[in-house]
Amino acid sequence: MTSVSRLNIGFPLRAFGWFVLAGIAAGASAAPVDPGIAQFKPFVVKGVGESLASARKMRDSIAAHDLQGAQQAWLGARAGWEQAEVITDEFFPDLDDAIDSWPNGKTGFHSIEARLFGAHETDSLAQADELVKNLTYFDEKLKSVTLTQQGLLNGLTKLAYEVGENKADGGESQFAGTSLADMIANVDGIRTAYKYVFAARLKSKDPVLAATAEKDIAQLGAVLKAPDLKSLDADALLSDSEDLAATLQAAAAPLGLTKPALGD
Amino acid sequence: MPVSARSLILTLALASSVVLGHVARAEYGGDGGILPAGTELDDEFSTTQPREIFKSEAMQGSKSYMVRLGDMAFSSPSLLGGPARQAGISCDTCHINGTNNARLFVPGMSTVPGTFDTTGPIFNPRADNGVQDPVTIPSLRGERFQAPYGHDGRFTSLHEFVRNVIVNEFAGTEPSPEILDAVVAYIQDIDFLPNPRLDLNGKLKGTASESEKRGEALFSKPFTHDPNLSCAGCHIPSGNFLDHQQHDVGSLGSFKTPTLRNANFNAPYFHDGRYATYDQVVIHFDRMFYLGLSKQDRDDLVAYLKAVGDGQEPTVPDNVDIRMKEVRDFLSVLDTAIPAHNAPVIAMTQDTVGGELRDLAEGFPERKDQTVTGGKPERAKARAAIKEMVLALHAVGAASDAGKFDQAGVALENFRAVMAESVPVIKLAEPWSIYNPEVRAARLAAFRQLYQAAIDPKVVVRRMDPDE
Repeated sequence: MTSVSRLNIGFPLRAFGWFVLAGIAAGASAAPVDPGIAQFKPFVVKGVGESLASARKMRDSIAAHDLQGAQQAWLGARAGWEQAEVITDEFFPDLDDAIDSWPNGKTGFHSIEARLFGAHETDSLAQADELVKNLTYFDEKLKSVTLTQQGLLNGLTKLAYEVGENKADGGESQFAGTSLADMIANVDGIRTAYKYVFAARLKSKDPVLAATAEKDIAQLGAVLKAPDLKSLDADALLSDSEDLAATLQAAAAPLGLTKPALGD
Repeated sequence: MPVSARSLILTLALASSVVLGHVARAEYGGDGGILPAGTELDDEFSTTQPREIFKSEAMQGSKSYMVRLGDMAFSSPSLLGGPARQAGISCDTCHINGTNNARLFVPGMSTVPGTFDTTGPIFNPRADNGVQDPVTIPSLRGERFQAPYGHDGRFTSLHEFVRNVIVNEFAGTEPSPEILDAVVAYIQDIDFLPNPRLDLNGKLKGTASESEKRGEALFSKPFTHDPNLSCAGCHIPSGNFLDHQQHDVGSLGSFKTPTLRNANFNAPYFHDGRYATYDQVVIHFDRMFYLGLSKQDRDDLVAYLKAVGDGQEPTVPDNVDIRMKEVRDFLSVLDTAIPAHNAPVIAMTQDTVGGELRDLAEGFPERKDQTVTGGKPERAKARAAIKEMVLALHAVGAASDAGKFDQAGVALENFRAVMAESVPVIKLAEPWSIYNPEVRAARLAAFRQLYQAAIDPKVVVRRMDPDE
């Protein structure tokens, strides 16, 4: 029956659990590294590294009660994180929970966002410390984690759906107002992962579907070239994200993978 | 369907960003924020929704295509334009299941919950009259008896009134004649809840209490200072407590007589929602018309109003079953629209049902939402199943957009197959969804906590008070 409580996600007590779960969720194995994945991984490693560097700046600005500096650094930290979302859900689900919990964020980006951008207060040092710790852990583990094609296709498909589902209407970053930037970073992650990991193989197996996937990704990117969230064509965004999610699901069979589910 | 917590937050974000400016975006947190008691963020957030009964179902056993089409369009944000469309607001957001939404409160656009300024700056700047003058959101139960339309009764035609709401108040594009006819057909099909305490002439039946009977007598008694007037002179019991006229009863203007049938569920009262209770309404009339009522008289009138305003089974549980029933009802429109190659209706149905499904998925907290810890795999499966339905429905719309209506028909059958597989999965996760009052309360508490954390004490937003 229902158990209603808030998780108190600590660090590093749950660290081992995260790693084990990450391996299980993504089907980690000792198989040779896929060359496409080897090309893609530096992109996400770079994004997380930049996110961590900005998070450290944010923590220091909060400690110095520099509101503007902390806000700027929060925005910088967010961008790298959003690029990495293509892998977080599949490969680091518990870290994802701790870093990006919403709406009940006692930890993570959104708890800090509410104070910095809503209340205009620099009183979230403890949360900033914890975010830096979690991102540091993420940065370290990311370098050694084995990404898999199946895990990446799952992540791409879920994120493609999610972009249309809940980001066009204010999304989770309502106080900072970064939802458009979040979506653009998400689609950057999708585009890059698709390009390096799946594009060539899908083109050889099913060129028509590969062309559709490239068109869908391009359309999703184009609709996001709006000056602001208010000007965004929400109908087109929804339709394009559903198109892409459906195409990526259809790509599973020719790629020899399992059709991705659309869960969390 | 009742507005979801998510829709509410989006509505508030939209309103606050437009009206209050960015600095005040976080100023809606319930206690200490600008949302007064009685809104969707309250602890008492309901796990029920208003019961909707239809004349056609009662008489013929089923609703016509036009009524079902109108019902679907009424729930479709695509019927409206601009910011309303963007925020996923439909007619049904304010008129839940064709009734009122007594909890709706949009900062800057409402004075009390259950009111909304239809001539404000948010939804159609061209309709902005520059005055904050919210009006109550009326219930549409029995609307076919209630001409003229609008609080001031300026529309004699329900068609004209509905068109004005869509095009002028909410900046929607001109609706097609088919859609406008359908929305009107739907509204005209919504019945009052039955009230077995009244006879066909609107008189109390013999089972009434002594207080109610005294109230009924007072209701028909001529006013002392103007014997031409009485309560029943305007609220004619045999005519659904209406006279189809406008009157100035001391509320700053001339407004049409509202029905008293089912009025127990229609608070707040008066055109601007200034009164929350019948007691306040009776006191107003006592003062305005020098009625000289005693405390007993006032109590008797209130007892009478409560008896008249009652209705059987005003609410039904809000749960997966009832939401899926609505999905099936809306979807049935496609059985006519696809063979007729009616692409606009197919597109609207896909959009509306897709929205309903996405709203349903929001009811199953995702992993990152830690308000509920149990049923994690069940919730994930339920969310996945609902999203599969959305994509299956997307295929129907895509085929129609391409002019391949045979393919759309096949996609519809596939959608129904996906739905049949999905419903048991969704039902299995229901105990960990917001359809469980405990989970719903925890989730709303999380929203409150988030928004309270974002309150800037330096920003003071004046709360509008109609008594000021």
